[in-house]
Amino acid sequence: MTVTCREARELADPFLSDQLLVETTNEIVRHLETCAACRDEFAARRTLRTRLQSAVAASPALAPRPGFAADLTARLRPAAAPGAVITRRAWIESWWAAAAALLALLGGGLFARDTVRRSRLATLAANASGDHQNCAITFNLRERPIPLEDAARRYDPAYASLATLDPPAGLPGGAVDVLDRHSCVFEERRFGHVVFRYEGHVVSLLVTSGSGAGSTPALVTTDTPYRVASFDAGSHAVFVVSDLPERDVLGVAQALAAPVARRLSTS
Amino acid sequence: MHVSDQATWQTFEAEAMPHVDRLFRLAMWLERNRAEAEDLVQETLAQALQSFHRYTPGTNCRAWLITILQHVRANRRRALGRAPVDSDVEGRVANTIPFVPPVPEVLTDEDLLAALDSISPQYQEVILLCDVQEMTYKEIAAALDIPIGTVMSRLHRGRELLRVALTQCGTGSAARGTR
Repeated sequence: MTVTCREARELADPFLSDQLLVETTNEIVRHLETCAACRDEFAARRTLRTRLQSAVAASPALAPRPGFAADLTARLRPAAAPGAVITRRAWIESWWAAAAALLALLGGGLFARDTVRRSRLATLAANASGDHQNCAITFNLRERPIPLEDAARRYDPAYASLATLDPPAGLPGGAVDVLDRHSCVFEERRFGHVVFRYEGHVVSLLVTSGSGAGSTPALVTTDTPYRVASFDAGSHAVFVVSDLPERDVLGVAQALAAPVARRLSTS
Repeated sequence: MHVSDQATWQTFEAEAMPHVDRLFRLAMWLERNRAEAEDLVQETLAQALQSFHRYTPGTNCRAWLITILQHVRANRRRALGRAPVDSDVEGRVANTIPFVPPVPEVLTDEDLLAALDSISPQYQEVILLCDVQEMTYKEIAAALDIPIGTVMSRLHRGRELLRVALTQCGTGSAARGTR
C-alpha cells in the first residue's frame, strides 16, 4: 500500500498521538521519507502540540494557588494519619509509647491528659476566632464558603442542622438577627458557621468536629482580640465568638447550648 | 486509623497527588472560575480516594483521575440545570473548513491559548485531553463517555479550527487578553 499526501495528512493526528497500527505507522513513515511537504506539515503539527502543552503548563492564569496541593492533601488525608507507613519497628515503638503513656496516666498523668485536652481546646478556639475574623469580619478566606447543605452532604451531616437553627431569643440585649449561614474552612479546619448580629456586633456560631469545653458553656482564653465561649454538642465542639464583652458572649452561648445540642445529637 | 487505610492513603498520595497541578489547570480551563476549579479538583480527588481500590496500579493514573473529574463535572452541571454541551455542532461545522492554513511563524503562548479559547468547548476539551494531558483516544472516549470515532472526528475538526483561529490571530496581538 502506498500512502498519498491526502491520506497521510488525514492520519497525521493519530500518527502523532501514536494511535495507529504498526503497519499504518510504517507506511506513513515511508511516505514522509519521500515527501518534504508532508514532513513540514507533520513537523508543524507536532510543534503546535508541544507549544500548546507548554502554554497551558506555563500559564499563570491556569495555575493553582500556592499551597493548594498542600491544603488538598491535608483535607483528604484521613484523620490522625501519622504520615508514614506503619513498619514492624514503628508498631513495636508505638506499643512502648502506649505503655509509657499508660504508666504516666497511672502515675498521676491525669494532669497531663487534662493539659492536652485544654491545649486542643485552645487550638480549636484560636481557629474559631481566626475563622470569625477572616470569614465574618474581613471576608478574607482562602477557600470560598459553601452552603451548609453541600457541606452536610460532602463532609458532615451535622452541618445541615444549622441551616434552620433559630437565633437565640430572650437575651437582655434584645433581638438577634441571622446575617449568614454557610460552611467555611480556616487553617484546614471546616466549620459550620452561622453569623448573627447582636447589639450591633457580629457574633459567630462555629461548629466543628472535636471536643469543646464540656456540655456547659464556658469562656475559653485565646491570644486573639475576641471573646470565645465553647461547649460540646455530641461529637462536635461549638464556639461563640465576638468582640462583645465576655458576659454577652457567654450569654449567647448559654442561650444556644440547648437547641444546638438537641440538633447535633439527632443529626 | 486502620493500617490498611494508611497504606491506601500513602499509595494514593504517591500515585494521584502529583497530578494535582495538571488536573487543576484542566479544571480551571473548563470552569473559568478559580473557586469552582478548586472545588472540582477536591471532589475529584475525594471520589478517587474512595474508589482507589478500583484503580489498577501501573495504568495511567492521570487519565483515571481526569475520567472521574469529567464525571463529577457532568453530574454538577446536571444538578445545576446547566445545558449539556451542544453535540450537534460537529455536524454544523463539518463542511465549513475549506483548507487547513499554515501555522503562523511567530506565536506566543497567549496567541495559542486565545486561539484555543475561541473554538467550541467540545473541541477544546478533546485537544486538551489529547495534546496537553497526553491521553489516548480510548482514554478520552472513556473520560467523555463518547465513542472513539467521535473523539477522532472532534480532534480532527478541532485542530483544523485551531489552525484557522491561529491564522486569524496573526502575530497574536488581536487575540490577547481574551482570557
